[in-house]
Amino acid sequence: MAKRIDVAGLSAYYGPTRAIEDISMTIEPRTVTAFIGPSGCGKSTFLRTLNRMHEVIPGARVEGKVTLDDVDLYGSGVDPVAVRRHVGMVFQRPNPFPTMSIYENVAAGLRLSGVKKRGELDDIVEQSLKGANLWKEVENRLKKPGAGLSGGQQQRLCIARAIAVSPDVLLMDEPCSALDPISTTAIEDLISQLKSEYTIVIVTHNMQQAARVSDRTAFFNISGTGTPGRLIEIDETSRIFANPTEKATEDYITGRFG
Amino acid sequence: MSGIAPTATRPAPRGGGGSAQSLTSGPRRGDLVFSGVVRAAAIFLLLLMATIAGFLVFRATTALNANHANVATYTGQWAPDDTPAKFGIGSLAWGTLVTSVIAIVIAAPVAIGVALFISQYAPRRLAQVLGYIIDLLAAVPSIIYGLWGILFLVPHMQGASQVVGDVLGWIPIFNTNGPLGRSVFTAGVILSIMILPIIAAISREIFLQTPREQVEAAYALGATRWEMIKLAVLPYGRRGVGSAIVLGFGRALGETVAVAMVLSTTYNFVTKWLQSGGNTIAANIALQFGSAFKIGQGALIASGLVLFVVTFLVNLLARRITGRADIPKDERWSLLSVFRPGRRTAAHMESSYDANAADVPDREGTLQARDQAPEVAADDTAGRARPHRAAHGAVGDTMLVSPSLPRRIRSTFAGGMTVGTFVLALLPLISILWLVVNNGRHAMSPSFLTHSLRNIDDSQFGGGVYHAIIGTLEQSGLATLIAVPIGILVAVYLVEYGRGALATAVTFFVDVMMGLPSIVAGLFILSMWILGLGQHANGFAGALALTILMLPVVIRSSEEMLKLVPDSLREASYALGVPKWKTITKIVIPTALPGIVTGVMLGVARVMGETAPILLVVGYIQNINVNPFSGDEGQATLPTVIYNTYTSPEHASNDRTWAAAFLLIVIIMVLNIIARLIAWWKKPGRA
Repeated sequence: MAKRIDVAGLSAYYGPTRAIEDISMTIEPRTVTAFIGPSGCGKSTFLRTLNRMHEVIPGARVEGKVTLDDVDLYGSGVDPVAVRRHVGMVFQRPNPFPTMSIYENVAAGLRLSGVKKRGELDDIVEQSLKGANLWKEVENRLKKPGAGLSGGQQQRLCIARAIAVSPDVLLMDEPCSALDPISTTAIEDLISQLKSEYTIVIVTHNMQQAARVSDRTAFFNISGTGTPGRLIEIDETSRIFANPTEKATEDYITGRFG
Repeated sequence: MSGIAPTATRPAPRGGGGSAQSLTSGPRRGDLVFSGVVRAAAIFLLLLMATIAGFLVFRATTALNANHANVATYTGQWAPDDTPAKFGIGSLAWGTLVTSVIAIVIAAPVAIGVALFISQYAPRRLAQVLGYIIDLLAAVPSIIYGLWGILFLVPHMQGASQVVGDVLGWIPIFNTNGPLGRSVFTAGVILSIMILPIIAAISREIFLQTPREQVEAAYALGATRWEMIKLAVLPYGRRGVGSAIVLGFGRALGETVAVAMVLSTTYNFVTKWLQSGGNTIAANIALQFGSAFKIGQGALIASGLVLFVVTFLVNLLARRITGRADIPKDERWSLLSVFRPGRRTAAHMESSYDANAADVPDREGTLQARDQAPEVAADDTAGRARPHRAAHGAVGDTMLVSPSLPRRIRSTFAGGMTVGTFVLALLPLISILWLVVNNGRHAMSPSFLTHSLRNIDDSQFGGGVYHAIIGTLEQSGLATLIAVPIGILVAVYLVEYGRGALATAVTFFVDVMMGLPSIVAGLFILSMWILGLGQHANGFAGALALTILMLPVVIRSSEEMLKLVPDSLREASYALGVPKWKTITKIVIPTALPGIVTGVMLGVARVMGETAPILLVVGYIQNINVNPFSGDEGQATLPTVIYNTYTSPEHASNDRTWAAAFLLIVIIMVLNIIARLIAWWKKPGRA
């Protein structure tokens, strides 16, 4: 079931450098929330704090609170590995595992956490690939390496891989920035379908994309080089693009940024 | 509340156990155990090195105290067991450095050329085969290089040395007025052939992994193939190639048998490199150990310690060079980073040149060139070529002009050079294989493989090496069983966990182990395991000595390969909720596996051909002993058979020596093929 995320007073650091500062927001279940903002404003960093991927980078740490339906993700005793089972992620560049076939890529998350039953895996792989709109294209070559697919197919494979472990939330870090418009459309359609089942958060540089796929949009900004990124505002997407509260948002959206 | 139950409509209904999963699963035992194990492997390695150092110092001090000569400057003879004891190590250390430097100066450019040829120039279908041929050069054991050196190279080097002496005789070191051939120059040439395949194999692996985007980016700038290599391939492979060269240098310092067979022994500081005479620390240990008594052993160990310190200083120097270079502190050092400051200067000069060019009103061609400046400036050749490109713009007003003639010539010339280096590297291989096959076929027969040398005189025909085949396979097999797991664990520790002092220390000592002469590994096992702990001189002792030699090779190559696994794969795995230890064992290691197999292969190839340490810790026998743990009963190996028979004047014995060499090469080749088949078979979607 899709879950709600509440963030309160969150800051993230790379060593001594504060990358984002004091961010609070609520992300509603079964919606698509888009993060927009200039490069370096901490969108991706913030996204990575939502499934504790931020701390994978040496020296990186997080302050503040992120709750997933009342469970504090940074609470004591919470296992980051378990968090990532519930909050999946799709990356900027498609990154299928090169040593694995298409089938093995989709099954990887389950297999590596102990699901071994062949029949069960077959079902999940098929459903996940169907869920990612990839099944028809690959059903006859499941044993071929995932790296042999086109970029857009690889990205949908990565989405299939992410939803195969049935997470509650799906984070997408500029999932279309390495793809052509047709593949982008395919991914965007997929996002619209997936939102009936998942809470989706997407980072994008493409404002049209944010307007197309998201229900809510959050605008991030930095006041200058070297300063931490901040959340300027978050609201219904239609409102953000038509009638934003903050002047900075309007400037950015209308291209008067900087 | 416990975890999150999937709804029926979800694409992936989780298994019963999975659905009960909670966010607060507590510490994961798998991760704790795994990180503990790899850490323990790293600490074990440090303790091993400390023990080696401690032992060497203890034994050496005794001999140094008894020495009545100046250990640094005494020359002329090696007489530690005389009364009073007299020996000097300075001249040996000098000889070691001279031969290794000659070797690396010859081998490094050739090996890089070979690696570039195979990875960048050779047709794709052929590349694998060509790579395999160069690997064969690594499979040739040092004892066979020694045989080849004595019988083939030394006579030929006499003429070559005379030519060099005639041309360069005005430089003191190339002065010739005595017998030529069995010189440090010849030894250096042999060493260069021996270390070439290691440098070439690893460089090739790295070059092949150059990101396609970088290659294409270079081509998109209008680079010729050679310019592309300088822009994309070489910068990408710099660290790996540097590491490969250090690896080769370490092996050159440690080579024993081939040098001992080629050099005519003198105990002077070698100043005339073309003339016969010289010695190295490692060769001297092999030559003198058989006749050494207590002080003599200590003196040899003291010289081994000097070798140890020399490699230590080389590492330190290389680290200091890296410290000055513009790379992060936690990067491992590489010799090639020496070149970085120079390259940066060149880039600066280019950019100032660009600033001037910008003032000149120009046509499209120059504008184009200036826009490329930041990328192209990294490459001095492309930078120099820029005026020509501008000239083209001026001449034709068209962009479809092929690269200027000098650039095309340079690119063709560079390609030709890499082909040339490949051919050059092939010559000794062909020569060696021809000698070994031609001389080895006489005694080769089924009974040669099924009989031992028991009760066979040198002058008698018949007999065989069954006993030595068993010894070789058992000892190197045991060594592989011990070294590969430990080595991969240490490499995993360094790449995936290693931070702070322990990782720095382990990295450093792995580098030092790289230069640990095989003969010193033999000395260590002899005195520690046999004399110290009272264990037996048997096949297992030999396996332990081989383990010490194999470990650094496995660690270094595995480390390089693990580092090449992109972080995006680790992140993808973490994002699926896969624990770190499973990410490492199921994603990272399988991705790096082909490279790791190559590294292990190089390690096995290295130890199978080892002669010197086996001579010290395993008695040589002529009959069959299948049990490597059997008391003090020795075990023959193929290299020791060759070493113990090659000086025989008898025809029958010589035939068997060559046949044993033949067989040794064949066994190593078969193992190579099997390793490759495994790597190939492991790859998914190979159809």
